[in-house]
Amino acid sequence: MFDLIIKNGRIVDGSGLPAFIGDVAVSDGRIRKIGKVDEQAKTTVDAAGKVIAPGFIDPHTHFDAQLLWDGACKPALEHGITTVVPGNCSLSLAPLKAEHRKKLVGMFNQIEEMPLKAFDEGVVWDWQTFPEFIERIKRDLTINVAPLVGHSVLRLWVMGDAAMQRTATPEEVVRLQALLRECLEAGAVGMSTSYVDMDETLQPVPSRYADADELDALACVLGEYGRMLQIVHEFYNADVTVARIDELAHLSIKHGIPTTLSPIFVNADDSGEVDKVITRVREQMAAGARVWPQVQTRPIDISFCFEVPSLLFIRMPKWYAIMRFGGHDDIVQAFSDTERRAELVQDAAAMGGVWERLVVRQVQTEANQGLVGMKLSDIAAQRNTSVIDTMIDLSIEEDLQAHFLLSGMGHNDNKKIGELMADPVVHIGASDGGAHILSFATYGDTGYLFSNFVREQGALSLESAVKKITYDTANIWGLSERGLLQEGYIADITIFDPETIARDVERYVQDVPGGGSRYVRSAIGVDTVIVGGEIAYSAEHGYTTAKRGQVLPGPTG
Amino acid sequence: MAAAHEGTAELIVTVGYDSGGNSEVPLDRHASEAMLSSCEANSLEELIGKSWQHVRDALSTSYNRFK
Repeated sequence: MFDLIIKNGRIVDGSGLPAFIGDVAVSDGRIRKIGKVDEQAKTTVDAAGKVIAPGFIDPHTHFDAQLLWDGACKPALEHGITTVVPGNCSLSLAPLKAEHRKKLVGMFNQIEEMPLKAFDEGVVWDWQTFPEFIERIKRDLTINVAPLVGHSVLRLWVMGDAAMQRTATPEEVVRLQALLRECLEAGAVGMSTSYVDMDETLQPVPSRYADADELDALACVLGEYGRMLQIVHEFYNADVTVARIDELAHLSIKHGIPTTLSPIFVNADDSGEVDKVITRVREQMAAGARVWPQVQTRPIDISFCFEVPSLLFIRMPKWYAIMRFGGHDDIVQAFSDTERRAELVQDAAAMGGVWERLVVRQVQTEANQGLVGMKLSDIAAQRNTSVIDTMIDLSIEEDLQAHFLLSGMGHNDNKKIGELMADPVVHIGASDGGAHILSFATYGDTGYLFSNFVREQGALSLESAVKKITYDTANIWGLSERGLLQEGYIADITIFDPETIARDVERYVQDVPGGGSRYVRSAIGVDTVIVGGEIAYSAEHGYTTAKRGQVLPGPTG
Repeated sequence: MAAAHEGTAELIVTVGYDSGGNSEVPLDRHASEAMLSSCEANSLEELIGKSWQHVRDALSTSYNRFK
């Protein structure tokens, strides 16, 4: 008897090969049989009409803190994610001496917008070393975690305040190497570093003070274990990005390590800049380097409310003047005065059809909650008025606490991004899961991959899309026995409806320790998520009490 | 105008060098407002041709608001 059988599903096994109808049987946390399964099981899941796929792997997240109060990284898991990689961008929560906690929390707050109160009230600081941190998060793990160790925290541990002032001495480099070795042996999947991030005082983060010799010495240690080097590069400049690709390629070949850089953005006015980047990646890959550029699926939306000035209005002098120089009451008065309002509407009309793309993101009154996620143009049609008038009316109704979202303002060359999604040298990732929680929802990028790039655009097949976020990701990161539906492999499995899988609208929720809030997105079309052979989430019953998550790739030796 | 990584609107200005090279510099809201003020500009078009030093000072103003 098996522990679990998933029956009659469309098996998309992660290899990229064509789907086929069959069953998947699981026992002791591993896949035991694929095809026609006639035996009995303690639990049976009917997957008729659904896809059975390997669990999705998210390679760029910042769930470091959330893992301390939520071992499922909600709502990432319900989107089908069974493995997350935290510790990106040079920041991890270990190794960390007690005297550096405040500093690191400040950096997380500045760079990843994690609220300070969440750390105060959600984190019991009962670790210092990396092995202690691994033991800490393993206590309550529903999702798999492949943690990076941050270069900035390595420097803080070894160099103290000097980490934020200078390069390391040869003796300090040796100590950094020993510390990295300890982290890798405890289970770190690699090391992250950053060339762009600023700390809470707007000074460069410690990793940015490292010289090439230091990074080379640390890459040498990564090479001892074949582990990943992740960097945040100067993503706003294609020429510098090309230089970083060359630097990574050199380290990759010299030390035999995989490397990845994130994020790569593609704006509609990109003028071929991304082609420079991908061309260089292709050249370096052909030469034997492993340099994986991460491209996120979702576009960047600009959000605003009239309580805070937004540069979005800077080309509309009358609007920007009241936002910049007027207070709350001045803005309400301007919106309420017939004559001034008419001027504002006329001013905004000059921006053309941009307002048609506005979506209501957040309101505070109960009466308007049903409007969240709706296009303003649809609300305007219901109210028999214009989009701009609707934006003003809602703002008055919500005492200026109506939040709007202008979708697709960045990373918005949909066709080009579709081509990149299908490109074999492109790594789908950079979700930033668990970060920027007060700016936007970092969940549901995989649903968007299927809804936008598979179903709507046809940029890649269902099988290819699954492969990109399962088998390819497991291979890039060296996660053995994951990412594929194969007998003997770990049973991380996502069951979803290929016709409906998508991300839901953004919602504002108050579920962060310390009374904090964040934006989230629920999943659409994800039926069941299985981690380590046990059902961790189902659309019907929600989250279970399963705790089968593991730290990957796990300790060495 | 560009959408910043964090979902806010940013102003992108291009700084030209004597050598013929160009650099694009993103300015957040605080830096943009400082730039408009120091250039005594009422519109973005009026920024064209102004010295790079206005850009440097605008960035400093934005950074220094945390100090």
